[in-house]
Amino acid sequence: MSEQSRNTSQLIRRLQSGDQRAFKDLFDLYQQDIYSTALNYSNSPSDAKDITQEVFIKIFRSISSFQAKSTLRTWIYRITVNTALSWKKKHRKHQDPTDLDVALTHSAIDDSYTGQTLPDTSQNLRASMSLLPDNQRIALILSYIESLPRQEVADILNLSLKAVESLLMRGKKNMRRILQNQESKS
Amino acid sequence: MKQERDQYRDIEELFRANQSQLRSRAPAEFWNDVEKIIQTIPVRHIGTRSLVAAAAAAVLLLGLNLHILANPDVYAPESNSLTVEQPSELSISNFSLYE
Repeated sequence: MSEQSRNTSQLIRRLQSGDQRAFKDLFDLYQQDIYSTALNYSNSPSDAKDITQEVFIKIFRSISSFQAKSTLRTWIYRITVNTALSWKKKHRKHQDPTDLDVALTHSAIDDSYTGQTLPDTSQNLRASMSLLPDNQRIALILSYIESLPRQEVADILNLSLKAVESLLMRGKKNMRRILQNQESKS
Repeated sequence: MKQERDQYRDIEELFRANQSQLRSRAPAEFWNDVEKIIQTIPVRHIGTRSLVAAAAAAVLLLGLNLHILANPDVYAPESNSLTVEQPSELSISNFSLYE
């Protein structure tokens, strides 16, 4: 057993015994993973804070039933993704366009993507990602921003490895369309 | 497939170049908000609950075993429940391998 997995096992035991300080340790360890996933998904810092808060409450409430069938990190990311998806369902003010073409027509992202040039800020990337279908956006976030191994992304999303690869491919293809669309508008 | 993967290398590069900005941390004081909420939630101790459940199950099993030992007649099969008729002259000498 590696040092890291020993520490994680100890942390789980402390959490399950209700050690309040263990929650602070858990927060320090995973807050960036949770918050950045929530922020890149919602594209709003205040929404990301709400989602992150909800995720920690869910972890706190259900850590007693965590049976280590997956790693703690995988479990936490799964809670984060599910919370973000249900949060969006609960709070969305308008129906999202299901067709990317419709989304592109209505997009008002101020960006100047010129082929090889990178967009100036991460803000533009987040805004572009917000036009993607949920599953593609989440697969891109987990793979290219959170840098998780493909198998872990598959475990989090409860998909096969092949399905994740396919989602990533479509996500990247659509990202390029969005960025090219912005370029042609500018 | 590899060709298709390479086709989107620029998009992957975009994410890589912006990764540190995209991986933001929550504000430092954020823990205080989370902590306040967590403190209002009653803690459920899986360890304690499991121990109590295991102890209760052990006591029940022990009680059942003691009851069986103290009342063997109650748990013994009825005498006529399974009767096997014994052959009257079952002996190895009745058989011959060379017949």
